[in-house]
Parts: sequence; C-alpha cells; structure tokens
Amino acid sequence: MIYRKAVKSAVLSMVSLILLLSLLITSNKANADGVVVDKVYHPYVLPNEREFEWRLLSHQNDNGNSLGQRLAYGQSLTDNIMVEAYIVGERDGDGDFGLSAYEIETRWMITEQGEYWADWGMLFEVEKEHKLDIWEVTTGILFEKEFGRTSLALNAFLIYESGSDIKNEFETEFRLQYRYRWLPQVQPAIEIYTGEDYTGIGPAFMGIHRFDGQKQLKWEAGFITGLNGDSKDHILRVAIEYEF
Amino acid sequence: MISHYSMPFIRFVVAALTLMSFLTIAKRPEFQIELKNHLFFPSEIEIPENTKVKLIIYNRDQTPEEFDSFDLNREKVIFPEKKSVIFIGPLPQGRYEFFGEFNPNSAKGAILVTPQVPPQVSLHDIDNREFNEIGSTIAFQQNNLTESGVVYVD
Repeated sequence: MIYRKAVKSAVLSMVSLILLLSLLITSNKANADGVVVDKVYHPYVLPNEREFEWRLLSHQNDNGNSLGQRLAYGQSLTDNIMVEAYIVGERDGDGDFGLSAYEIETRWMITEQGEYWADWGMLFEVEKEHKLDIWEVTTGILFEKEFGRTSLALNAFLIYESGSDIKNEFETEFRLQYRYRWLPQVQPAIEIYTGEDYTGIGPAFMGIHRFDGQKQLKWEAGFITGLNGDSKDHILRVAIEYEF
Repeated sequence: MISHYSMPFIRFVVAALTLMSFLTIAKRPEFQIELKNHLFFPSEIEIPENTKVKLIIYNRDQTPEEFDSFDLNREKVIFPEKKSVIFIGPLPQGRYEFFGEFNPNSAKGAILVTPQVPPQVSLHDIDNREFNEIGSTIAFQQNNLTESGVVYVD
C-alpha cells in the first residue's frame, strides 16, 4: 500500500516535471489567437457529484467588446474522475450570438486533499470549433496548497491546436488564484493569467451557498486587467455552478 | 534517445522522488470517528496543533453522508457501511466545526486543536478489530480511545 502510494507520488512528480519542461520548450511558440482568462481549476472531485455550470466572459479592449458564454453539465464517474461537457457560444463580428464550439473535459483528482505537501490533479480537454476545422487538445496540471485560511491554486496547461483552418501549434497557459477563505459566501482572491502573449491580473470573489443535502450553488466573479499595453483591456468573468 | 550518460541521472531523480514520496507518507497520528444514527461519536476530538493527522470516519448508517467543514476546508463523501479517510492540518489552536451535509441538524461535531500531546495508544491494539456492532464499538472506545477519540500511531 505504502509502495503504491509512493509510486503514484513519484509518477506524479515525473509528470509535473515533464509538463514543466514542455512549457519551457514551447513557451516561444504561442500566438495570440484566443482568450486566456477563463477559470482557475481546483484539483478536487467528489463522488456522486453532478452539476450544471454557466460561465460568462466579457472582454473590453480598444477594438470593442467580445462576449463568450458556456453552458455545461458535469458528473463524477468515479471517486476521483469527473467529466464535463460544454457548449460554447460567442458573439461574432456582426453582433450575432451563436454556437461556436463544443468541448469535453475530464478532471482527475490524483491525490487526497491534504495527504501530501500539496494537492494534485490533472485536466484533459478536447474542443472543436462548430463550423471550422479547428481542434484544441489541452493537458494540464492542477495544483493547490493551503496556507492557513488561504489557498493557492495553480494551473499549467499545454495546448495543441490543429486543423485545416488553423496553423498547427503548441500553446501554453498559466493561471494562478490566491484565495482567502473568509466566509463560505464570500471569499476574496487575486488571479493572474498568462499565455498567448497575454498577461492579466485582477481581483476575484467567490462563494458558496448550501441548500439541502448535496445541493449547493457556487459563484465566482473576477475583473482581470491586461498588462500588455492596450489603453483599455478588461475582462469580466462570471461562473455559476449548481451542484446536486 | 536517452544517452548512456543520462541514465544514472534519471535513476537518481526517480530514486530521489521515490524517497521523497516515502518521506511524505511518514507515520501520522490517527483519529477515528463513527457515524451512527446520523450522529458523530465522539462528536468532539482533540488533535495536537501544527500536526498533520489522519481522520478515519466509519459510516455505520445505511445511507451515505458527506463530511463537510468550511473551517477545515474539507468535503468528503462517506458511503453507507464504509469508511473514509480525511487528512487534516497542520492547524493552529482553535475549534474547527464540521457537519454531515445530508443531516446537518444531527450530524455535527468539532475538531479541537490543542497544545497538549494526547496520550499514545498502540495501533496494534486496533489493527484487526471489527466495528460491525455498536456494542463492540462502545467497548472498543472504552478500552482504546481517550475521551477525545485519539488513537496514536507509534
């Protein structure tokens, strides 16, 4: 048993090392063809968990406003694996809002919360653009560490974009969230996003409201400011999850 | 292709990571709680401050329960007639409340983090015990647990 845990931990460390090396190797290949700000993932999965999720992303810069929304249904398949399916909608250049992509995402909780120095998980994601031959495959490491009443969550993603409507390339993204667990309903945080020639930072707030049993509502909102030189570059992100 | 000279380095890295992994799962104090009729027994346990501990929760009920604590930042489902393990700490002194999400009015308890070092009881005394009957559980608690429900690993 102890040997198995040690091997799991060693494998995890090696995976992290490989991913970090990959990030270093590919860090110069990223092109600016997407939005990095989304959501900072946590490496935890609960069995019997089902959820509906809605996310909104409003990006205001010198070129105007772009809007993206996601609707998702997720369900844990085992004690430590959760699958979530998304449909993504975006407002196009004509101002019409419509379906733009589909996505399937798997989160794997590798370590028990609190068992080791930090908690680890992985994320696998496949996204297909609706009317274009563009595929995006993402692999990521999810990390979380408690410091008293605060929690530091880090996400490091390696993304491969391919298809006839896009130049095949690797991209990397890094997300950070440092959260103060003040009250269940209100937990302030600071978030940092980097990737695709973009760096953004800003405050975020999140909370949870419990109903009966496993039913609970989680909310998140963040206001991220880009640090890349545009005179105006703000992103408002909102996420609401209903777990049942 | 891995060069001839890099193999010793890779072996060293793997060995070091494995060793570190063993170090991280060093012996920790263990504490046990039972859930019976949607009540936690004991409902309060003391653990030492600044120490990571392993909390084992036995669910004797026929229904699932979800251990939940914002204070401890932990959520864990405990299936009927199964046990679950929760790792807690290291924590500063204080009172950390928890409850069962499915029965929040009855399934309530608290972890008291105290500076005292709890008395030690050998794990060998409890290794092969079964907890199938409430009578044996009470006897077990009387014989082996302190009032705070502490079982200490050597």
